[in-house]
Amino acid sequence: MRAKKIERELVQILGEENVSSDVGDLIPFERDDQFALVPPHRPDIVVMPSTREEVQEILKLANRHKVPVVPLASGINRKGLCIASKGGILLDLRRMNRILEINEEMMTATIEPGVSFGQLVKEARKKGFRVITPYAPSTASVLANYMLRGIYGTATRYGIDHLINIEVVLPDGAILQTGSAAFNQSLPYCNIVNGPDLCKLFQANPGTLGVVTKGVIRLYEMPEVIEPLIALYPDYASMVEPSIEMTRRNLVASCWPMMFTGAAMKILTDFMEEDIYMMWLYLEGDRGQVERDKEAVEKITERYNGFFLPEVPMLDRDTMIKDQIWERTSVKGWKGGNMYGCSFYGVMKSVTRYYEVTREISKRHGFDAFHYESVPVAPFHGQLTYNDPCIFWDASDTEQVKEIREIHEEIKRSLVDIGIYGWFRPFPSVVDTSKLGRYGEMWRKIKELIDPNAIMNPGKPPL
Amino acid sequence: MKEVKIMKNDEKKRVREMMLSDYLGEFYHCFHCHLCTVADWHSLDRWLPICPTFAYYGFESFSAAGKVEIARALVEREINDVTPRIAQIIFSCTGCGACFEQCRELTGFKANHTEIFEDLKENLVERGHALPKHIGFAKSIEENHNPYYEPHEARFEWLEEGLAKDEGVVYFAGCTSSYREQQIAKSTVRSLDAADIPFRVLEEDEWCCGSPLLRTGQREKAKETARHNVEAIKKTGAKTVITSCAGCYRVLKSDYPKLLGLRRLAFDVVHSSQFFTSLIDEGKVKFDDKIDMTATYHDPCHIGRHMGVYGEPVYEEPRKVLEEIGVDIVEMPRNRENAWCCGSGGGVKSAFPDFSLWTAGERVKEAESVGVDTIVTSCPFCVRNLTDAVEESGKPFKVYDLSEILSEALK
Repeated sequence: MRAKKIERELVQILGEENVSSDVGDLIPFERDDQFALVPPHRPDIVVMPSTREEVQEILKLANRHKVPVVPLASGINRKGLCIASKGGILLDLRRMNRILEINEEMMTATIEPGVSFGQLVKEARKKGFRVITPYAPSTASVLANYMLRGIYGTATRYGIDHLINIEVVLPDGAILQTGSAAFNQSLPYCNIVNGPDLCKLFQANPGTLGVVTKGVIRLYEMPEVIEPLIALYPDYASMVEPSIEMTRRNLVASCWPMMFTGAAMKILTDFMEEDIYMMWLYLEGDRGQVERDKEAVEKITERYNGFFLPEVPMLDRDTMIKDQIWERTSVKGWKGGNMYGCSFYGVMKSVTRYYEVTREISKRHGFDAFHYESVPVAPFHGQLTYNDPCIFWDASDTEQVKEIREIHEEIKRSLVDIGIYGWFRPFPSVVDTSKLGRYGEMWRKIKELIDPNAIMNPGKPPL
Repeated sequence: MKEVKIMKNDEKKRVREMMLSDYLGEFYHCFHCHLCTVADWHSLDRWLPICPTFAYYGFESFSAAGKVEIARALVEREINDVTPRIAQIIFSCTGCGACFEQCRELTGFKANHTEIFEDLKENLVERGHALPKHIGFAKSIEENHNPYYEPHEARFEWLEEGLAKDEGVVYFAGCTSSYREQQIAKSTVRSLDAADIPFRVLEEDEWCCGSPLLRTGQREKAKETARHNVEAIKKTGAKTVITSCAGCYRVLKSDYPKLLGLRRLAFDVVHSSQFFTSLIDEGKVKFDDKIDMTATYHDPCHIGRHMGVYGEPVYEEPRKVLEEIGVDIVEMPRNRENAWCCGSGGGVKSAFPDFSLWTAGERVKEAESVGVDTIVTSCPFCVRNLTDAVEESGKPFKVYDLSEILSEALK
C-alpha cells in the first residue's frame, strides 16, 4: 500500500516514463561482479530524474517516508557500492548528462553526474583540453569517479585530486554548494572559501550523504607528445627504486610497475605464458622535454637491470596512447571472466612485501592467474602508492566464490599486518569504522547529522 | 558440394532446449561496463551510441547488460512470471549485434549477445509471451509463405517474362523484395541479365526464408520453411544461390545449416554484392559510363556484423561495386563494425514502429551530417525503414538499394 503510494508520488514528480517498479527494470541493479563480497539485493523502484529540482523532490519524498535512496551516476556499479542492500529507490542519474560549461580561461568543466569520461573527453578535446581519465572504461561517470577518488593513468604526475567543487542535494532536499560557489555562484572555480573544503567531506562517501547534481572539475593542457614505453625487469623488487627515482624527479606522467603470472598472461594474450615483471611508462610534454626525460628514464632503467621492449605484440603504441587519453582497453582485465581486486594505498618501499604476500595467498588457494600493480601517486610525499592485487577468477563457479571470500579476508589481514595507509575506496567489504577510532566515530556522527533518517545508500560505509 | 549431417533430431532438440541455460556461466562474466552501448571511440575518435534500444528507452534493462541479467534471472528462476514490461524489453532488441561487436574483443564475456537475445525471445515465446504482431506475421508465413498477408501466387508478379531461365544460379528474391520493395528484385534480375548470367527463380517453391520467425524467437516454425527452401533449391540442381536480401542471405547461409543440423548445405549462398564483385574482379562486368553520384553507404547488420560472427562480413563488396560504378562514397562516422542499425530488424518494425522509425531517423541524420543527400544500402528492409524515416523528416533525401544503382549502371 505504502509502496504504491510512494510510486504514485514519484510518477507525479517524474512522469510515468521515468519510474518503474517492474521486476524487469529492477533485476539489472541487484548485483555486480563482486556479489561474492556484497550480497545481491534488488531495489524496489528505479527512477530517472533529469534535473536537480527533481532530485530534490525525490529526496524530500524519501526522507518523509524514510525510504532508502541509492544514487547511481552513469550506470557502472563497482564492488557493491550501489547495491540497494535495503531496497528502496534506485536513483539512476544517467539522464543528468549535460556538460554545462567548459571554461577555457579557468581550465574547468562544469558537469552533471551522468556525464561519462568518453563524453567529456570528446568535448574537452574540441577546446584543446585533456581530461584526466581513470583506469576504467570511458563509460564511467566523471563525477562519481572523482568523488570516489579513482586511480588515473597519469596519477604519477597529476595525482588523484581533480575535483574543485560540487553541488549536493542533501537528504532533506536542501542544496549545498561547496567551495567558492557557496560564496559566489558565478565564480565556482575555486575550492577555497572562508572555512574548510566541504567538497572533501563528501568525497569517499559513496552516496551516503546526499546526491551530487553538479561538479566543477579540473581540465589540463593536452601534451604535445605522449610517449609510451614498456620496460621489463627481473623481479618486482627491481622496479621499486627506479619507480621512486622517476617519480621524485618528475620524469614520467605514468609509472605502472606490474607483475603478471604466466597464467594471467595466457588469458590476456592467448600466447604468452611466462611470468612477467613490467613497467608501463608514459612520458609527456613538449618534444624537447620528452626527449630529455626519456634519456634520463633510459639511464635509470639500465641502472636497475631493466630493459625496454622495442614493441609489444598484444598492445600497440597507438592503442596505448589512446588509452592514456580515453580509456577503452582497461576491461581486458576481465578477460578471464571476473577479476577480484583489493586495492589500497601504501608505501612504495613496501610494495615488494605487499606483492609477495598477496601472490602467496592467491597461489595457496589455487588461483594462478594473478596480477599486481603499484602506482606512485603525486604528490609523492610519504611514498604514496596505489596498489592492487588482482585475481582472475570465475564467479559462476560456486567453489571459487567461497575461495574468493576466504582470500579476501586473508589478504586484508596480511596487508594490515605489513602496514598500509588505507583502502582505496569506501567499499563495504573493506571499510570497518570500528577500527578507525575517533575518526570512525566522527565519520558516523557526520553521517547522522546530515542524514538523520539514514536514507542515503544504507549498508555502505560508514556503517 | 554435399550436404553434411552432424546431429540427429532428438539431439538438436535437446541442444535447443538447453540453450539459454547453457549461457549461465557467461552471464556471470558481464560486469556491466556498458562498453556495449558505445561505438569504438578508439577507432572513431568520437563518442557515439551504438545500441539503439538503450539509446531510445534509457533504462538499464534495455542495455545488453540489463538483458543479460534478465536472462540470468529467468534461468535461475528468480523470475517466474514474465511481465509485459519484460516482453517489451526483450522484444524491442533489434538484434543488430552491435553490443557483441564492442564486447567481444575487450572483455571476458565470450557468448554472443545476439544469440542470447534470440534465445531469450524464444524462451518468452515458449512461455506464451509472443507479441501479437509477431504471432500475426508467423500465421501469415504459415498460410501465405510471406509475412505480409499477401497471396503466395503473387510472389513473382514483379518478374518480367523471359528473364528467368530453367538453368543457372538461383535468385532468391525474398518476401520484402517480392511484395514491398519490388524495384530491388527487378533491378537485381536486370543486372544478372545484363551481365549474361543465366538464372532461375523458385517460383511457387520460394517461401519466406524464415528470418522474421528466427529473429522473433519462433525458431520451431522456421524449420519448416528452412526444410522446404533447401529441398526446393536442391531440386533445381543449382550450386549457387544469389540473394539481394541481407536477411535472407544470413538465414540461408548461416542459420539453415544450424537449423537443419547440417555442417554445410549442398549449394553456396552469395549476396548479390559479392556476386557482382566477383564478376568485376573477373572482368566479366565493366562500367563504361560512370554514374555521377555522391552517397553514403549504410551497412546492413545481417550481412555485416552478423556475418562477421558466422562467416565473413560483407563490408567491402558493396563499396567496391559502388566505386566501380563511379559513386563517390562519403562514409558516416559509424560504419562497418560500428554501423548504427536501421532499426527495422528483430521484429521491431512491426511491434515497436515509433522506436523503429526513431532509429532510422538517427541514421538519416548521421548521413546528413556528412554532407550527402543519398544513402545506399544492400537490404530491402533497411531501404524500407530508412525511406520511412526520410518521408517522416520531409527532407529531400534519397534511399537506394545497391541493386538499383547497379542496374542503372549496367543499362
